[in-house]
Amino acid sequence: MTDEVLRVEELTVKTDLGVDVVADVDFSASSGRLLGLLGETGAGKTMTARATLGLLPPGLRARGRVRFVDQEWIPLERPDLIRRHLGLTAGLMLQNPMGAFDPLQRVGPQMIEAVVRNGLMTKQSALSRASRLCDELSLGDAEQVFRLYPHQLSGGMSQRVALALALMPSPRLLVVDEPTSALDANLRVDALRLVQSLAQKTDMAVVIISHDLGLVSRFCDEIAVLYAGHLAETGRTLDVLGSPAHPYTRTLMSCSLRLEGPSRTTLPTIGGEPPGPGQWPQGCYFHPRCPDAVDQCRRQRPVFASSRDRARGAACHFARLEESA
Amino acid sequence: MRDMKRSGNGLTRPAAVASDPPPPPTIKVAGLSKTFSSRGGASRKVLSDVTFSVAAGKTTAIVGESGAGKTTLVRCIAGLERPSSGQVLVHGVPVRLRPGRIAPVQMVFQNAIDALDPMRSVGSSIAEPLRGQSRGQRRERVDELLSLVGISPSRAKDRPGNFSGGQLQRVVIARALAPSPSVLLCDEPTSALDLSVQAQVLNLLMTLQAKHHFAGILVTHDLAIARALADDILVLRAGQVLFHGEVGQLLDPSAELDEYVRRLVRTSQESELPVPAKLPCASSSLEPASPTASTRPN
Repeated sequence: MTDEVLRVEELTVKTDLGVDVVADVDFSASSGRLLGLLGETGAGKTMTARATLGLLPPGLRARGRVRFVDQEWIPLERPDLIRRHLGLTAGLMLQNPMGAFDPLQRVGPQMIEAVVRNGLMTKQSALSRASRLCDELSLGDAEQVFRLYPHQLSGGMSQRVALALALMPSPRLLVVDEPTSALDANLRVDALRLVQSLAQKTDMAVVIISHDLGLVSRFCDEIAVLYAGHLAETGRTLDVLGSPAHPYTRTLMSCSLRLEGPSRTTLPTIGGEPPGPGQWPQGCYFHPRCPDAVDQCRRQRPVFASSRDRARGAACHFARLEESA
Repeated sequence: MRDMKRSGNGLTRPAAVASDPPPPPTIKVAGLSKTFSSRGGASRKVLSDVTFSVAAGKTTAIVGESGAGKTTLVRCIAGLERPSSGQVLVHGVPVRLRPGRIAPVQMVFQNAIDALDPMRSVGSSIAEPLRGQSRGQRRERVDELLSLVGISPSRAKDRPGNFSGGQLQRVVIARALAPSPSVLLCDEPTSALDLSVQAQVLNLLMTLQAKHHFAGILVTHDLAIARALADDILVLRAGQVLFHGEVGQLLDPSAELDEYVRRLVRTSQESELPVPAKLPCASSSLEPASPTASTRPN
């Protein structure tokens, strides 16, 4: 069994009109470890995840290649081949959990349907696993949850049921998009603790898409920061957040709120808004908002440079990359 | 630190300061309870004796997990739901929604895009509560409101699809402020926004409140956001108020807190981004990423 569960190379997503949404993104996820894909809205996090699993919406096309576990490379232009891994090797939880359910069917049958149909479990063992997951995700009486229709779930419940649904087949790769945005701190930590523990117990690799820096810093082993459809910085969480190489990572960190921070005072912000697809500026994409931008940043686009051990990388003319121990 | 006392219902509250009498509340939620009954006769109590008040220029945050009763409380405060018992008073008058009348409580919703008609210009949506004024007055007020929230009035004719998430939330705030409400009720106003945009919106709300002195009610599941924006916090669980007081009291290790509240504070602190000093870098060897790395001007 290989340590690397997912590798994506040269991932590019374009619209049918030829506008780049994501460009030249490489990343990998290893068994038992959590990778956090960080970035603002429109940075391309969700499109990166969807392209990786062959689930781009109509009007978007992907290029590049992906490899699951130790199998063959699959071209990202062939989503039909990639989708064969869904529900078997790979599980996905999308940002809008209600979209994961059939509104006319009760929750229970939906939770077990895919694993039983794919021959992964008997109906009885599927029910037993679903019940255990409900319990571990603090959903209360599983029998009662199974009887509910999706519209009867609250926002927080639907997020946890969708997470349980993605975990049902014990996938080798779990991709979760903003998995806990509707949960309070207690449930958020419980849900991610469960994901982390399952990852370690079952050698599952997890890709968490989030803009919650605090959560990512606590649970993820590695981080990939995306800005304007490109990788801004990658590396081990401790390294990246301990000593950010890209000014975007640094400014993003300065916006993070703290419980012990000041109350009712002006909060630090990043000036302006991130550019949308097709509006990427010349030079470094971050330079209009970068507090440290110089003339070179306006003229020349920095290449994504990696440290010698390839454990860290950043796309900044002035990045100083510290090698992992 | 302010003195604290235990109130009759066991909640920790700040003691009144004799020399500084509290201002009269703009909104008072008094003994509010709500029970839903199903057709089968079963009933479910979702709010139980919730009481708090907010003065002009102050903000109270309502914090609670999913299913705590936050949404029902919001609907009761906004006049969208009738409480089973208790009442919501704004300037001493019960809140009632009447057709054609502007409610004294205006709302800012979580998903700005869902709160706006995609086929109408944002200017037209903002002008909606200004019915009864002349066209010129409405246009002038819309321009003023857009400027107030940092959006160019020249964009009044644009539709919601042409704005980013943060800009749309500003538009929704502008619309909520159009009738100069006494109370601004913000339901998870930043949970759909990024960190940097979230801070921009929170700053905007604080600036607007300082200028317009509305009473603010913030519903959030994030204690750090409550800390940043609110003067005091009410923690709700299963319809019950478990804590009501200043944020500082939550962080006071000697405060007597409900076990759920204590855990909420602990997990909130644990899931914060640690300060860089607590994130030791694995190595000390520096490797320039590019030949230009050493040429950065100071």
